[in-house]
Parts: sequence; structure tokens; C-alpha cells
Amino acid sequence: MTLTTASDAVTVNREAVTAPIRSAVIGAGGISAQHLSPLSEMAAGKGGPRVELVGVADLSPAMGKLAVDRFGAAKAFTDFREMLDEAKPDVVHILTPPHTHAVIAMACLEAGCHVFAEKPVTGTLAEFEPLAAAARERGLLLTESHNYLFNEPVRRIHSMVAAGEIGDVVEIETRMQLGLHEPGNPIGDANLVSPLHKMPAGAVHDLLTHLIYPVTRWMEGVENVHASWTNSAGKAHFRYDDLDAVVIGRAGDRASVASGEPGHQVNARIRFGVAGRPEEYIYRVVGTKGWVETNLFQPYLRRVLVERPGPEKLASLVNHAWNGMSLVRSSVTGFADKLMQRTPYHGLHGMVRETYRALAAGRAAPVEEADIRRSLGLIDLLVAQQAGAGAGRGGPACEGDAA
Amino acid sequence: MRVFVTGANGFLGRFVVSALLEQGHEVTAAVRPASSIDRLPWADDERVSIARVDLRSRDGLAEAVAMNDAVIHVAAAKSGDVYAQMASTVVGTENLVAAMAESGVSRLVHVSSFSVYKYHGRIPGLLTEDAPLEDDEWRRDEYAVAKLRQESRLRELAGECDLKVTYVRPGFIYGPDNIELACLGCPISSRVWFGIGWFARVPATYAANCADALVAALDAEESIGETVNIVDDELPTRRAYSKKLRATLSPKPIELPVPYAVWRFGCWMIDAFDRLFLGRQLKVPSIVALRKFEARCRPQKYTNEKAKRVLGWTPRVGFDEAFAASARGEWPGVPAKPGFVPIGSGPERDAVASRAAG
Repeated sequence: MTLTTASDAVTVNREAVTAPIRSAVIGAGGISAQHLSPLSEMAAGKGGPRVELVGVADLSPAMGKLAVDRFGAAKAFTDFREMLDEAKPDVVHILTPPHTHAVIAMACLEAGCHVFAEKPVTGTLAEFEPLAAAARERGLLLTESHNYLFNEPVRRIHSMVAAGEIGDVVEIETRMQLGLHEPGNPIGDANLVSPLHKMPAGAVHDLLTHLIYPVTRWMEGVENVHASWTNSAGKAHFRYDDLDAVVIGRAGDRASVASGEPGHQVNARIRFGVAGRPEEYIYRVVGTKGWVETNLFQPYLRRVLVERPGPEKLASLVNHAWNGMSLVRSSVTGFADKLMQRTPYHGLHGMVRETYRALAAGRAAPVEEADIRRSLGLIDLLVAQQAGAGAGRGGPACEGDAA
Repeated sequence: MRVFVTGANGFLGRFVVSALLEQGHEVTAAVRPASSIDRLPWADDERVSIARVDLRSRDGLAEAVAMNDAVIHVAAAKSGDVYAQMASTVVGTENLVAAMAESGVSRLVHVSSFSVYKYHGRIPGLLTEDAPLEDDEWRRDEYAVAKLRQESRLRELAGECDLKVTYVRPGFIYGPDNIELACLGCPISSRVWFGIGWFARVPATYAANCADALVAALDAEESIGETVNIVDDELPTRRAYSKKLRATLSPKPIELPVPYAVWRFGCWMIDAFDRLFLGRQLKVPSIVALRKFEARCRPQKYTNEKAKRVLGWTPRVGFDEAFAASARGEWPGVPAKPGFVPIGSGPERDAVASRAAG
């Protein structure tokens, strides 16, 4: 199956949005702070094109007022359609639960607004198609939060690959441990069952996007997928809480910088669990000349290269010394980050800023339709591997199954 | 009357249900769907019905509130980020009021908090109900933000929905499993504590006394629309409270006294550095964050004069007895129905005998 091409190969025919860009948010829950924070800073003239925060919509007046008071939004609405009519935003951030995205996004696109949706923009690729078509027809951006790609360690990894330091990418590993069953975790809360559990693969489906877009960044096609979904803790309101998946695919341009010849085999391991501690998100990229990895929840960067300056036999010594220094630096910056409230969400702030810069300049956004399509395509294939998928378990229609 | 109690299986809620039963009321105890009720002594009592609802959702809430005459709103989040606490505490209140309006219940006793007051700058030395409210909420903790916004939102809704609300603001509530109060100071290990402002009074109320005040508010017509502070009559100094508290611990920690002004100066230095060099991004533990520290530890005087006058309430359990019961982990039991005479209960036995003979 082809997962379509990368966004940097895509040209967009989109008019630049004249600053100040009128921005609005739908859904004022927890994640809204991570969108409103960079928006309010841009509204104050810091770090991006000028933005005017014209409205926030939430069913709760109290949550809307919180956004107005804290981030300086012009007005709170309890009906998002009223906000679209009255505030006339250029860009709308959709931060409601995923099952509501399709209806809201279509209303925003029909109102002529660019859409920045939280992940996943839709539960399936099929649901995404009409939205993508509507955005294309109107020359509007429809983007999805792929925020971890914009975290500092991930950017450094991607720079190393782009510079050919680790050669061609041949393996990727994304591994997340999250305490969904810990007290206080809203996804595990059995008192008020989250709507995320209604997604085709349950609550893990909502988190899956984060594990997939770093993989599809390097893959252009998928040849084989094997996914094992289990409910390891056996909680009744969870469909699954554990995923172990292997994907075998073919490399795209980004993965083949060193050789300049895409199409070689790329293997990916995708892992989600709830029992391991501490919580982690490991991202590891293995190349033909070395590997590099980070943990986004306790950031560090480890790198082992085959080619190092000096005698070949001292390469391992140089690698260990480099990694030792890097870990010491990480422990200091990690402590400073904690004090300065710099969280793994700093990537989302960066993505918001870069997206707005792209809109202001009329150029391709950092995450375009093709990126979302590839991510949703692979998610569909993984979700289709649920036991009984397609036999009444709510698995998605999977177009173009793996060979 | 039948009273709907939110947070009924929480720390204060359990005392409130017990106090209501003692006063001859019936109770609808709102308990979250997945919460265990095994430890609730009144779970099987015929005067109590359990409503399995979560205030963050309106599902089933109006039906649960209907058939009640009044509501005592105890439920609030104590942990989580500001959005989690807003969802439970403030959106929960919006949903509760919507359910009350839908089911025609208008009487509400609302449990607010001393955390809504301002504790910095020039404020009166005596904390009364007229003291200024916090005006710098984002430098306070999440609990204060949510409680401040909860009360403010409820006042708006009370006007819109014609609710008859009494706003009750308790100080530090102590009781079983909850005797370590934030105002005492800062434990640096299990062996050593800093005791801050030893001679300041602890604005404390024993959970049973506070529950009595909430029940008294139901019957006090003159309390409608009023705000009352709740503290007990005997307010121990921090040193006295801490001494009793440390005596319950093994090994007993050593307490090092630090004057309030000295500790505050340290907080002020950190705050000034943050303001001047870090753009107010610094996050430090609340005991060294200036505004949070002031809210926890600023020495003030307190009064319960208005509560006594408006509610006709008097705290019935003194500090020594209340602390001892708390330290022993004594939860309230199931009060007997008024007029019920336990068999073999001393003088009552004679009263029954004489009534039978008569």
C-alpha cells in the first residue's frame, strides 16, 4: 500500500492570510492552554505573525471565561457556529473530543476558516476524505497536531538524518508508556467514561497518532503490518490498553538522504503500554551508519555513529564520551525545564507558530494533508488488526490493505 | 426534609450526611459511579438513598436532584491541574445548578473556602466575610483558582435561576485521615519540620462542627444570600497544633521554628528573581512561592461571630476532643432516628421503663 508522498514535495495553492490573523478556539479544556499560550504570545507580538484571538467556544461558560481571563480571548461563546458567524476567524483550532471533529471541522471549512485540529483529526482515513476535499476546494489548510515532531530533541534527530550522519534510515521505534490506570488520569477515570473509549480501537486509538507520525515520516509505502492489541489490565471500560505492532514498509525520500535511493526496506516497531514506569516516549531512529534516540518525557539524546573522528577502534570510546556528556547536559537542562515549566508540549507551541508563519506567507504548512493521510492510513491498518475487526467490533473500513 | 448532598462519600460529605440524619433529615447521597461505598456506615440505611452521578456530566443529575428539598454542595476537586479542577469544581457546579433549575429545587448551601480570600498587600488583620477576595489568582494554586471561580459563577447563576444560596467558607477542616494542615509549615523529611509562625492561630474547624454549620444553614432562612466563615471557637496556635500532631507520629519529628517574616523574605527573594530575570515562568513548591505561601501561612485573626449569629450554630466539639477523635481515625457513625432509645443505655433505660410503666 502506498501511503502517499511527503508534504515537502507538495505544492499548495493557498493565499497568504493578512496579519493580524484572526484566530479562534473550539473546546477550552486542558489541551487548549497549549494552543492559547502561543496564540496569546503572538497576539502580544512575540514569536510569530501578529494574531488576534477573536473567540473561544465551549459548552461551559466558566471554561470559556477562563480562556478569556487567562489568555485574553476577545469573547467566550457556548455555540461554536455563533462564534464562526460573529467573530469571523481566519483559523479555528478544534480541541474537542475526536468524535466531534468531523462535524465541527466541516462547519469551519464551510465558513472559510483554516482548521488546526487536535489529533486525531478523524478516527479513520475515510472520515478524513470529505474534509480534505472541502479544504482543497476552498484553498484552506486542514492540519493536525503532530506536535512531538517539533520537540527540540526530535528536531535534532531529524537534522542529523538530513545531514546524512546516521546514513539511510532502516528502522524506527516509537515506544510509549503512560499510566492510564493511575488515579487522576482522565482516560482511566471510570466515573466519567471518556468519549475516547468509543473510538474504533478505544482510548489507545487517540494516543496512537503520536506513535505513528514519526514512523510515517520515513515511510512511503507499507508492505506488512502485524499488531497485537490487548487489554492488559482488564478494565471494563477499556477496549484495549496495550499495543505491540511491527510495520514493514518502503523508505521515502527523507529516509534515503545518504544513498539518494528511496525504496529500501524500513522496519518500525510501535509499542504502547500502561504498566511500565516511569512514563516514557522513546523515539529511536536506526540508520546504516549509526543510531540516535531520545525520550521526550525526560529528554536526552543518545547517538552512536560508526564513523567518528580519529582511529576506527576508538569510535566506541568517542561514542560513550559523547553520550556521557550529553546525558550530563540533559540532566541540567531537564531540571531547568522543570523549574521553568517547559513541558513536552513545547513542540506544540512550535508547531502553532510555524503553521501561522506558513499561513502568513502563503506557503505549505509543516503538517499538510499528505502527512495526515499517511498517518491515518497506517492507523487504519493497525486498527484493522484488532481481533474481530470488521466483524462487528467497530474496526474501520480499510481501503487498500497491506500486501 | 430530604437533602441532596454532593461529595457525600468524601471527607466532609460523610460528616454532613451523618449530621443531617442526626437532625432528622433524609438524604440523597451523591456518590460517583465507580466509588466504593463499602466504608460508608449509612449505605444501607433506609433514610439514605445513593445517587450514582458524576457532576462533570448532566446525565441523570436532574432526576437525582428531583424529589429533594435542598442541596448541600460539598463536592470539589482537591488535586489535578487547573483544568481538571475546573471541570470537577466549576463545571460540576454549573451542571448541578442546571439540574436544580430543571427539577425545581432552589435551596442550596454551598461549601466555599477560605482560599478565596486575598492574603497579600494591605488587608484587614481580622478575616471577616467582608475581607477582599483574591485579585491575583494565577499566582495561587489550582484549588484556589477553581474555588474562586466556582463561587463567582454560582453567584451569577443564583441570580439567573432564582436560587436561595448560603455561601459557607470554612477554614482548614480537620478530621480522621486529615490532620496535617498546610498552614503549619514545611516538613523537610519525616524527622525534621520547619514550623512557620509558631504563635499564629490555626483557622481550623473540626469536620463534625463544620457539618453542623452546613446543616444549620439549611434551616436558617436569614442565611439565604449570606456568606459566613466557619472556624471553631478554640483556635490553637500552630505550635500547639503541631505539638499534638507530632505526638501522633512515630518517630516524632523535630520542629525547627522559623518566624513568618523570615520565611516570607526568602519567598520574596525568589519571587523578585523570577519577576526580574525569568519572566514569571519559575515554578517552585508552593511553600516557597510567595502568594501561595502567604495564603497558607499569613498570620491573621479569625471570627465566627457571623456564623453563630446568622446560622444559630455553635461548635459542639472542643479542640482537644476533636483532635483526639481525629487522631484515632474516628469517622461518624449512623445516628439513631430522633426519639430512638438504644437498649441498655443508662438513664434512657429508666426513661423507657417509666414510660412503659406510665
